[in-house]
Amino acid sequence: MGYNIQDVVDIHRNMLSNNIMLFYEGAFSQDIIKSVLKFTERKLEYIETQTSVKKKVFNVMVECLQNICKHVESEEGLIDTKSMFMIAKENGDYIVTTGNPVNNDKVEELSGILRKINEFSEEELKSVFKSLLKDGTSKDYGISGLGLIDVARKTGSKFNFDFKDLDSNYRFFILQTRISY
Amino acid sequence: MDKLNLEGTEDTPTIVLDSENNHFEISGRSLPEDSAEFYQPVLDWLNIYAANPNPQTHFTFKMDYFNTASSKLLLDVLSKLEDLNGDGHDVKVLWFYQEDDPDMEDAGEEYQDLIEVPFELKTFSV
Repeated sequence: MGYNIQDVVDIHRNMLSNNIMLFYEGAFSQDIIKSVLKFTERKLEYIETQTSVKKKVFNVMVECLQNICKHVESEEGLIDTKSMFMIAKENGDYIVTTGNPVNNDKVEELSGILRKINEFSEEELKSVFKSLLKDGTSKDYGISGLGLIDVARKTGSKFNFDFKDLDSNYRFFILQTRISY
Repeated sequence: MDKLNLEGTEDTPTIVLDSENNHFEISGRSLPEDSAEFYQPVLDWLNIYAANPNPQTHFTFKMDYFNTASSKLLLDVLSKLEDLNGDGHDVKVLWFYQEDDPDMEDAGEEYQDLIEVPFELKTFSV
């Protein structure tokens, strides 16, 4: 595919019409996470007036971004693979979407954890969070349980997720959450 | 004993552990890459301090934000204070949250439930 100017203009128009505040594609590290947070915070300064909403968006972004790192670090050979992060605004809500490869064997466990979290009430999320905090990591919630439960609590919304085919060993894990207020 | 004085950065909090001036405080943002590594000097300092503490230890938390990985380590710090209190020393946790920050208020209340130590929740404005 040749990248002529029109292709780039189309990508830009698409970003504008979908209110995409930031789309990052590539590898993730703590330095990149800090940069992504800084970019988004600056944008939020202009478009968001409520401090509590800004803080919530920041909180959810940190957990989602560090979640990508955890998946990638837990898997040798995934370090150089392509992951993605996107934040967009829709009717006043903020939509955070992450994508990263996960090993086929993790798919069942991960979707089980997410389904379980999606079924919890606010009170259940609170008590599971507290017991995980006190007792450390739990087999029931994997490496990213505490972070995912925190996101579910802070957003008050259910996760959307999917696993797209990538190759024979990996699937592309897409996770999406919505911050409404 | 030696002070522990760490200046805050965009992803790590300001830490002051100063027994000479009776000042114990963690404040700001905490989302370090490796929270266990970052908080180890704090836990080490508190272990040494516990052997010979001041008559009164009022420990201030004034957090703007912390991630879930840090929340476990903050609980470890609070557990050290719980132990100190259990040994019969005068210990109090002062948990400050910004007036319009329900998340930091909730976090303080949750720690208060998990830890047996005198605990005060207070607001501050910026």
